Amino acid sequence: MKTIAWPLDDAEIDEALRALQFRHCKWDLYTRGRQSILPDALVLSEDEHDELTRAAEDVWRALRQLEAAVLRDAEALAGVGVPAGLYRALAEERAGSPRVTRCDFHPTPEGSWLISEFNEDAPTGFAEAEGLCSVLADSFEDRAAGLRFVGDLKGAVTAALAPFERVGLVFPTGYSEDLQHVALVSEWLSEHGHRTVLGSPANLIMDGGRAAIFDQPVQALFRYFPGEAIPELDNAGDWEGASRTLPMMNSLSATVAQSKRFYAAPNEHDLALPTEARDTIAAHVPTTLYLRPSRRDQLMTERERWVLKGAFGRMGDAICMGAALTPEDWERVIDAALAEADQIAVQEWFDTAPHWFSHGLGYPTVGAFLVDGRFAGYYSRVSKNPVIDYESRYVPTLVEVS
Amino acid sequence: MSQRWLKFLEFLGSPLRAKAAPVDVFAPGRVREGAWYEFAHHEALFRLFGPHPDSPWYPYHCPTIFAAIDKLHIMPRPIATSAEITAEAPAGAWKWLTSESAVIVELAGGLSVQLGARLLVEAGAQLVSTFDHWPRANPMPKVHQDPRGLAAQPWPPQAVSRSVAIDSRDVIDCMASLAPNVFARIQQGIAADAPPVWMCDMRRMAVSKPGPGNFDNRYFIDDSILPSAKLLSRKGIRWLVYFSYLPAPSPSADLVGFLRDCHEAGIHLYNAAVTEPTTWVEPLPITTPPPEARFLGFQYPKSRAGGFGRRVPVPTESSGSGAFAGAGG
Repeated sequence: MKTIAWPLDDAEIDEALRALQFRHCKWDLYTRGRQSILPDALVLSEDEHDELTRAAEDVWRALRQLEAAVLRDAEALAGVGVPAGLYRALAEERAGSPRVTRCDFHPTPEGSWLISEFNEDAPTGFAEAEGLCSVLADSFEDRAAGLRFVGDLKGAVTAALAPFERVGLVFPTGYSEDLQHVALVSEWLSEHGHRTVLGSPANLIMDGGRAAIFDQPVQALFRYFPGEAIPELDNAGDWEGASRTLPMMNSLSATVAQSKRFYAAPNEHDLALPTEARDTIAAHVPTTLYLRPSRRDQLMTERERWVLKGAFGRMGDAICMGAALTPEDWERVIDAALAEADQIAVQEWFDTAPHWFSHGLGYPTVGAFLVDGRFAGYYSRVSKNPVIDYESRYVPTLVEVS
Repeated sequence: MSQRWLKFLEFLGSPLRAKAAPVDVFAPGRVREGAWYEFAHHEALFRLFGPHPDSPWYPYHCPTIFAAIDKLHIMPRPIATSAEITAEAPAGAWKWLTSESAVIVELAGGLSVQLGARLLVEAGAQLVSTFDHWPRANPMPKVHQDPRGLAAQPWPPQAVSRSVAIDSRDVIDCMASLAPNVFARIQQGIAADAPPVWMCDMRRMAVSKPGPGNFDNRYFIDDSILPSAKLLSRKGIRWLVYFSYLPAPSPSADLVGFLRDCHEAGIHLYNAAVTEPTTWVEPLPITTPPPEARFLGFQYPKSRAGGFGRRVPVPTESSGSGAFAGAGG
């Protein structure tokens, strides 16, 4: 992998970002006053692209087997941290819902790639993965010969929802950073002839097996609201009904795989998981365990080896790297985490390889979108630290073509 | 559909032309009559009611409500202005508005826009929009009237939708109505270091009773919209005027921490009030610093259901702090 600067002048960059802002619903172009998009690009070789695509799809399939195994095992379901209020909805869930996922790859100094996690529930990055590539494609074609944007997230999402004429899109309506994703997907669907209706999860009503939002009947849902929050809603009963009957991108069972403790399940429970799936996950995802009091001493003595992650933390929140802390601070963190141990995962730390960008050295993460397990586009970010968090900046990904 | 109507839609760059080029109202020949409807396009309003493109405050200009005009097919309507806002200013008003001052206007929706526009027109301020929400969830029903024939609606708005927590149509209508004046003033020149005026809707965290048929569109202002006190200081801001409706203000909870930070950074805090024109000449110093209590989203469960719905314990890019945030990961 290498990096390049956009082959555009400042005015062209401004123009591209402006087009992205209103045409592709990217309203948070700035975070705390800083541009959230880096005018650089990651360039993968064709072999690297093939390797990442294959790995993402292989692991995705293995994770579906693991998810099914966890869903069958009550102890494992509780162990990964899924709220009890979701159990009934999960037990009766309609099969066959479409799913959009993003898998985050990290390059290691040895030249290999490791996956820190899959974002299974409300992954972010639609505008960048589809919109910015669309905005930049023409300029790059002319000025960066031999490179191309790959994937078609818009096509994949609309194809997965194609059977449903009326789609409801639900999101936490107080947050424009979520509205922008839903507005974009709604536009994609409208362009393909769907009728869409937006609302909060509270606006969903189930009546005799039929779903409606704002009195508009819907045949499927695009859910951009954390599954673990659903049981706390006043209309959680309607969501149970929806889970039984309504195709949902993503279904509530995505909550299971969203938990960081999900990756620990093969190590912590006696699951009926095929060996091949177990090996595939182990080959690409660092060892993950539950935080337990019995592991305190091991974590203390192996501080630099472990990272703590909140089960449902997102965007890098609730992550603590032992290597970044003093032994005293690490001890304090461990003891505080043990007070809510059933919501914390422990993952083996791995070294990531920094790369040079126009602003300096940065740590890239290559995100691969999958729709129903098939590669659909890249959403990559760069962080000044080895943890991807809300200060990370988006960077487009291109592939060399021979 | 009449030819006149088609022309009007084309002029607006409506969805009939999905890939319409960005609208630049300052391009030669773009504005012919200077009428309000020539500025009704969302990108035109975004440009007019935002800072100078080279301003340090440009990254804080919030595009959400402007995107709503486009995506929800909202047809702005002319609306009258409040007599309180247009009242004659006493001699010496706005003299304090220099490149060393910044203003937070916190009034009900359209009033903030009206006052912001007045500060731009009369004192050369630059505006920053903070309306980080959509006024409704889904597209408007089609309007069958030619907007050129619409008479200005009276102020305050007579018809307010009860199916949304905050009906901010007045914000959009005020922008469109005042756009010709703002356009004319910007043409005369507004500097990139002109005093910034953040226009805030004081209704944004209003108490509401969300139900299945209501759209909970409340929101809060975070550090993607307000700069840090440190940046304000670095850019030479020494006075911050909080403009409220009545004197002795009580800023909304999401502004308290910001005002406290400004106070601690050595920025002098003042208050001006719509109902007290003497403060337009000489704002009153805020002698009691804002409390230390910080706004945390979960202390203000916006509703129990979506939207301000509940504490969603996940930070995303723009919300940053991690105390409250949206869904994306």
